[in-house]
Amino acid sequence: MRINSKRGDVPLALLVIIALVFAVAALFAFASYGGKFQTNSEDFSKLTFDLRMYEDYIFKSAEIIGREAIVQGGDVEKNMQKIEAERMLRIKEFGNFFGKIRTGEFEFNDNGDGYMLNVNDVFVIVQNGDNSIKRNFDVKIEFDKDGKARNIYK
Amino acid sequence: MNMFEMKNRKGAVPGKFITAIIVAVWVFIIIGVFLALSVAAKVLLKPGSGEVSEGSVIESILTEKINLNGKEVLVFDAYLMYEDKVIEREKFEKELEKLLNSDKNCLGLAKGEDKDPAGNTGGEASDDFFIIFDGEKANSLQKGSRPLRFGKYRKQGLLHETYFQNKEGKMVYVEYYYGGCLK
Repeated sequence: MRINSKRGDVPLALLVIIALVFAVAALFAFASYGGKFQTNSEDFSKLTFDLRMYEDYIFKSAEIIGREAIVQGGDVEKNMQKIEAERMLRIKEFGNFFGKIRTGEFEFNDNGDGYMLNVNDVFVIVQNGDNSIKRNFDVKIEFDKDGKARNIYK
Repeated sequence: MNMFEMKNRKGAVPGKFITAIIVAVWVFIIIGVFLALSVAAKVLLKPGSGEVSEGSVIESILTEKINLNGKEVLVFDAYLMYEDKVIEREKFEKELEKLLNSDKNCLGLAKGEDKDPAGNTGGEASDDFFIIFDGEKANSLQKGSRPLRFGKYRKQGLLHETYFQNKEGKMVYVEYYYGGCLK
């Protein structure tokens, strides 16, 4: 009986050692992998935040430039191009909006009781490493005669 | 021989049962240790534990409108003007202070030629802004531990970063924050 018991100790000890090795290996995998999903999610969240920020920047810039063009009086389209020409382009993520204004690819029409600004097929693009997101949209803003934005169509 | 074998078999049943219990106990102990270590690792590896004040809204400060010399300007454009030395720091700072309220009581803007400029100190932080609204007035003194305090927001993943090219064509990185203050 004693001999049998001692023989049984070896597999039991091995079982314990193997279990410990698996536990440590699993713990190591857990520690080294933990947070990767969170990091990816944070990266994506930051990209979408930036995308929203650049889009918001374009709409608000269009609102400010549009108002200035109306306040100056005369040909509002030419005014808008002139105002934009004085601006230095500093970020490529702003996409093609400001380029379209400079080259006259937009409409800024007097509709009787105000003005309607239309810039079609505008895009913004954000990039982080291998990930990038592009968003296409139209910029449509309705101004009153004083240059105050009445409706911003997003 | 037959009797002896029978005796042995009878003894094997409780013996195996005891071995199974011992193994089960060991397995439970190991699982317990594993779970304890896992929880400890998770707590230790967790980056920081700061919280943004309740009800806070995190927005982009760069697209907020301010008034400079009677003209409406976006904060990002104003920061470019500040970089180009078209506007003075005091004027810009005063307008930034107006954007703070009890919900969005913290605002930070930092720029530098290297990435992640927030938290720099000394001369490197001389063009940075970190303004706190204490409930009555905005306090925008940029000295002491303020730049380091701004850097803490990065550890919480609250800062956003963009860049622009200055007049000389050099890349300037901008880190910014607008929302509730960290508790």
